[in-house]
Amino acid sequence: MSAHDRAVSAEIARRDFLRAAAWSCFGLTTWPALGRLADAAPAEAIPLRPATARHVIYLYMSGGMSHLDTLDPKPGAETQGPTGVIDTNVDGIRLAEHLPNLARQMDKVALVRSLSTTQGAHSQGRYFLHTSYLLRGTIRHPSLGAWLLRMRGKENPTLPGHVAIGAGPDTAQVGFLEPEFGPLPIGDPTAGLQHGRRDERVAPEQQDRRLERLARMNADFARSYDQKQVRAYQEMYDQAVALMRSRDVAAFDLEQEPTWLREAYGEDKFGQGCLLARRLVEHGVRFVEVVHGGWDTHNDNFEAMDDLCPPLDRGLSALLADLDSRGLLDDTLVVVATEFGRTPDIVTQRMGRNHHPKAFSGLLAGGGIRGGIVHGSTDATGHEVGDALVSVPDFNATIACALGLPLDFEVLSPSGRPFTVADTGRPVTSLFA
Amino acid sequence: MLLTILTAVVLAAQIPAAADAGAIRFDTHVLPILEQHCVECHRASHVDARGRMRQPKGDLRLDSRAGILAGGSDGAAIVAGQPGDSSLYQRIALPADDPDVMPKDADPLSQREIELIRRWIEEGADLGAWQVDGDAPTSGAPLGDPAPPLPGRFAPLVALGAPLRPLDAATLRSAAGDKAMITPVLPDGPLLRVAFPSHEGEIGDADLRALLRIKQHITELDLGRTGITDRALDAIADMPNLTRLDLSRTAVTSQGLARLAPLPELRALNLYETAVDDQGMAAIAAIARLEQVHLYGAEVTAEGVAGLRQRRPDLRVQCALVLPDAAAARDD
Repeated sequence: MSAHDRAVSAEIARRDFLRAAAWSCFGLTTWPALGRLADAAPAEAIPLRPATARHVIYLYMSGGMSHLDTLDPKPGAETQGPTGVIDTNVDGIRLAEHLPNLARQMDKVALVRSLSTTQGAHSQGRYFLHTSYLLRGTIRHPSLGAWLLRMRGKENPTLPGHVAIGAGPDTAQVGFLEPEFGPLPIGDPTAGLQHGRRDERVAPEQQDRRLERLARMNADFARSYDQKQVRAYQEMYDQAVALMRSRDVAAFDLEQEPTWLREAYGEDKFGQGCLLARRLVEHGVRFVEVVHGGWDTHNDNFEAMDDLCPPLDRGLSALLADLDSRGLLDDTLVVVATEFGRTPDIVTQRMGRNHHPKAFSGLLAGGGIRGGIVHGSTDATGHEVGDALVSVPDFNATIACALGLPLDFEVLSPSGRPFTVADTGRPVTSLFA
Repeated sequence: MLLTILTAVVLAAQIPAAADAGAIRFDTHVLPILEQHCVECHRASHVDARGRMRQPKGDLRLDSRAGILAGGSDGAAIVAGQPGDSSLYQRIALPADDPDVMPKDADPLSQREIELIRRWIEEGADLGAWQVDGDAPTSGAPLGDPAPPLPGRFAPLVALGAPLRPLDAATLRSAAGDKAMITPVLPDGPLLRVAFPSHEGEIGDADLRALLRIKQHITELDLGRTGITDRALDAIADMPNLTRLDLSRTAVTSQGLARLAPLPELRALNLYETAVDDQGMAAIAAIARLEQVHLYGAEVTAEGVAGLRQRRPDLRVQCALVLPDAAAARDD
């Protein structure tokens, strides 16, 4: 791909992202009546399994997380390199030494060690992971969060239903679904919701008068052009105002959490992102993605683990313990996923590991998932999947199944082609309690 | 002309006597034709001798009842009574040199076989009782797997919901009012989950009154962060099928909890960040079928919790936030 092509495709991705961000800035949706019945799914979309999860916290490790140095260590193998191996609080399950806090909560967690993908490049791998479809120039597919909103709707009507913290292109995305299902992007979780409050210099009555004047000016236009997009645009404003006045916007304010808890999650962007995710889920947000980047360790893999793993270890463990003590873990599915693994063979000149799509690991917890188990395995060196191969669509089908989403529910793209939440993926039912 | 008549007579004479004698049976007359000429390509996806995954051609399976009824990417293979509209018949009746003729790349069916199929479709395309292993019992369940077992959490709901019928939308709307969100817990089931996901209006004790109209159907009730008080617990105690109750971050007290004791089916109670203290432990212990209680952030002491655990060793009590020690050394 030439530099020009790269620039163009990056521009398209950026435009898409900004457009989706603008539309979904305050969780645009067709304004539902508050006393609505959720789950007004069409009659033929009967889920196979009743939902045990109502929310998802999706922790995306961007760059390709090395499986040998985290969730699937190979004690004694040459490919393990200098990374040590530790026991967990579940007999027979061991983790890499960089995840001691997670090791103490292994009983809450299901490891999937037999993930395998066909996409070994970042854009393609990331896209495939998030959408279950291959990256093509001609169409953008929705990610899991958008599908969830499309099929289940929002819980809290005043907050956005889909939030992405620290995310870039090809991750959480609305694809060809209506803009209202797209993610609200949050760059810095500690900064609160940008522009989410009425400017202090404007009194509420003043704001009301201004909005009323604006509505009068728009009324003629809205009458002449009574179309979906025009109505949607007006609703976006209505919802933005409602969110500004809502008490629930406090969900975005991390200052309300005690300092000791913020420290326990880790004073880094990922840890604070996990804490924000817990608050959002507590307030009824359906899908929150938190991104932790930097895992593309072609160089100095082992030194990098010292920097990359502690935020994951602290943030994930604090999140699991916190959700559990509030009684939220039963209803909230926590996912740790990455686009591919890293080569067991170490590139000695750089002490690095390259991309390894054939075998890698992921993690699921809560939301009806059985804790303290390992699904699938790789061979003795970590190169190939040994048994129970789980494809990326299978992994996503498992998430969809936990949410009670029908895997055969089709949505037509603008060009009239049918797509489903996990394409041909089949759920791994042995992961469910 | 004479030749055409003669040909027609000869062809007519080739239809087997058995078929003449009565209606065509699928299993003895039509199935052998499909098995011999069609099923090689139009069968379930499988791995062939060269290790490649093969899909049913045209997405059409003719090796199962469901497949025959479902049709393929061309649409319905069979329209009962209308052979002219049935692609199964249309394709086999094409001239042998037509590019779309079926079977593809194989000898065409004999006139006798084509006529058998035509008559079978015309007479209603009845498959009789023919079925193979693996036929999905209901149409439209494309994944074909038997339904996964019901998650353990929902096991009591099957019996509880059995005597009830699902409520209609109008009843639910009037009970929900403009603040509650009501969803069925099991798809199409009668038992409901009620929540108040936005707290724009102050949700108070009075808001539960409308819900009492559907009290038999409420099995999960989420009142977390609402403005209810102990008074609401009287209404809640009147819900016989309640299995999960979330009172977190509300103003309920230990005294109010006593009103919950009669709930016959309550399994899970969430009291995190409430003012419940050690005095409430007896009331919690008295809820006969309770399986788990969350007390994190409540005003209970270690002694109080220990006492509760002693009285109810079967009860899972979650009261501490067991955090990772951020300063712990790597060697654990």
